[in-house]
Amino acid sequence: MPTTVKGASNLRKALKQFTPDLAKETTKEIGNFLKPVVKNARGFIPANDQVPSGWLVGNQKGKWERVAFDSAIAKRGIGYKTTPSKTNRSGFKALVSILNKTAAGAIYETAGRKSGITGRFTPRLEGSLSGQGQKMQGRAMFKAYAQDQGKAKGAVLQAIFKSADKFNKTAKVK
Amino acid sequence: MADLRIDIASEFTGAKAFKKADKATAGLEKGVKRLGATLAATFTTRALVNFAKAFAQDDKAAQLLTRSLNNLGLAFADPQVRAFISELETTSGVVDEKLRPAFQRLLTTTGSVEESQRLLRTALDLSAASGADVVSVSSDLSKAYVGQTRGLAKYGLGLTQAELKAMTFEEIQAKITKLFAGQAQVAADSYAGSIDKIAVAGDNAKEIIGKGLVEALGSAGGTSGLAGSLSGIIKLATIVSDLFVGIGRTVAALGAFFGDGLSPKQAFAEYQKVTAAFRLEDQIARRQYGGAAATKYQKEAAALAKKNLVVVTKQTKIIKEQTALQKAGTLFDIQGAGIIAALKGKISDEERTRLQLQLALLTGNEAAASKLAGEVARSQGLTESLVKYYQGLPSAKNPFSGWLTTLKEAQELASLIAAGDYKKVPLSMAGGNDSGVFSPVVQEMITSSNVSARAGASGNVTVYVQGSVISEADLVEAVSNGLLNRSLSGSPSAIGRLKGSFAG
Repeated sequence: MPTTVKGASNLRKALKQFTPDLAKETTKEIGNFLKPVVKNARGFIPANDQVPSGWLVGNQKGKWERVAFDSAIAKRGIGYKTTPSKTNRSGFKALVSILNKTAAGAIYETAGRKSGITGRFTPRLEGSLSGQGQKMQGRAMFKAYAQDQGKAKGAVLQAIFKSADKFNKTAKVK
Repeated sequence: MADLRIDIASEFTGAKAFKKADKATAGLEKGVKRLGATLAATFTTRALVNFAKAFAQDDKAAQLLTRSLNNLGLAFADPQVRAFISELETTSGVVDEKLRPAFQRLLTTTGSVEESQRLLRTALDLSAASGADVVSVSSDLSKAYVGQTRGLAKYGLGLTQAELKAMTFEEIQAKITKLFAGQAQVAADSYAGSIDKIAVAGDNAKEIIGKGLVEALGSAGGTSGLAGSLSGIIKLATIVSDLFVGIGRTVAALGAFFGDGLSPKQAFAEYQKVTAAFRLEDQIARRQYGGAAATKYQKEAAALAKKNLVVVTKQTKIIKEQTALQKAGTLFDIQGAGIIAALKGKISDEERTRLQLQLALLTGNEAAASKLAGEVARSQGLTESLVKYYQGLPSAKNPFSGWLTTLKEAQELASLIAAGDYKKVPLSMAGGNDSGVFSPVVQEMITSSNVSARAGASGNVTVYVQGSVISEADLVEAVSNGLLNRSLSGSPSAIGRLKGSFAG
């Protein structure tokens, strides 16, 4: 579950407007904390010869072509984001996220998460599901996040609070 | 498919639905608060009114009892009675609204405060034992005090009606005391009695609060007292009401002014229309509240009513006239039909002219009417001239004037002949000739008084035939010639005779 930070959006706007250097610094600092997680996650993406051959790009035709697997593309699809998202139906907006954007990467990430390791496809995938709870289980990104054990999260929040303190000190009327 | 992502940090900014829900909740909360405030105000007002009512009832009962004491010359005992009632109310759990009437009945019967107090305690015991109302029990006891013991039988004293009648009141009272003494206290000490005591305390509290409320309102009214307060409350309510009306009108006027798609001129016109309607409403409303506006309105209304009355009278008159004309018209129609029918009959020229004139007058044919009127006038003039002419003629004998006399004389003579009185019959009549001279024999027969003689008289009657017939042969020849001539002339009698088909 994400940690809710009150006033983070306003802080980001204020940083960009009044202290652009601090904003950039904060963004960079957050990125530095997330990059190891992303790197580990990409490392869990299998090579092309490790997945069922029929799933590979070139062997899928028609509507399945969109979900065909390519290891390089799937790895590039994993990344992080420090810009706020749109507010969801529940009223929350994400400030900092780690993403697995490609369809093939998402399939590798979540296959068997709900139905179990059954059928003709899922058992042939290498890697195991890791993470707490059904929605936080996965083979790559979620696995890396779980292995990080919240260090990156804590560091990101620390960075946000620290930049807020810096900003407040800067903006204080003397 | 949504991206797979892990949110490291997020912020709750609130969804639209949340904002709507929040707004709706806030609105609901406000509404509930308003409702609560309204209910609170309502219940508070109702409670205050109830308090005031409770105080009013208690005060009324107390004043009635005080009046009874005064009437009995026991006014000095009023504080004592009040204290007794209050103490009894507390100990027995029976409200003073019941104790006072019960005590009053006993007091008016016995005339003694002490005796009434004693009997009231007895009544409370009997009431607690029987479950009857203390006022009813007191009434029965007061009747028994003066000898009407019938009402006590229902309380189960174990006495017959005869025994009740035979016993004195003191004996009956002793019996009641023996049977039911202490029942009231037991009842008061029970759980139900405790509840009653709490209720009594609550009632007393209501009365006290009500008394305070009335006094407070009286104080608030200043020199005018309670009436001033009530007037002030009404004025305040009126002001609040006017305020609400004013707000509503302002909103309506602004709404009309800022209507969609209106030019400034149109907007101002709409605004004026709305405000004019409100002014009219105010004008009408002010008439109901008296003052100059009401007086003016009454005068205007009276003038209008007077004006309306005149108009109605005129209309009634016109309607009456129209009705009469219609009726007359119907009559003329009947007359016209009669005239036409008469014209078809056999009438004289003058009558025809007159009828035609009437018909022309009925139908409104002026030309014909004037012409016919002239003719009628001329005819009337001619008739008058003729009358004058006849009047101017010398008198002439009526050739028939003697007929009536002659006929009367003939009737008289016929009567005489029928009666056989021939002597009175003139000879000229009996002789049969004009000369009045009869032959001697006939004269004798007429003049003779002896009828038998006249019957027996004999004589010859000579018939003288003048002309060429002298002898019998001449007569026969004359007759034969006559018959022959007639036959030759074609007389029907002759022809019939020849054929034998006629009688002659």
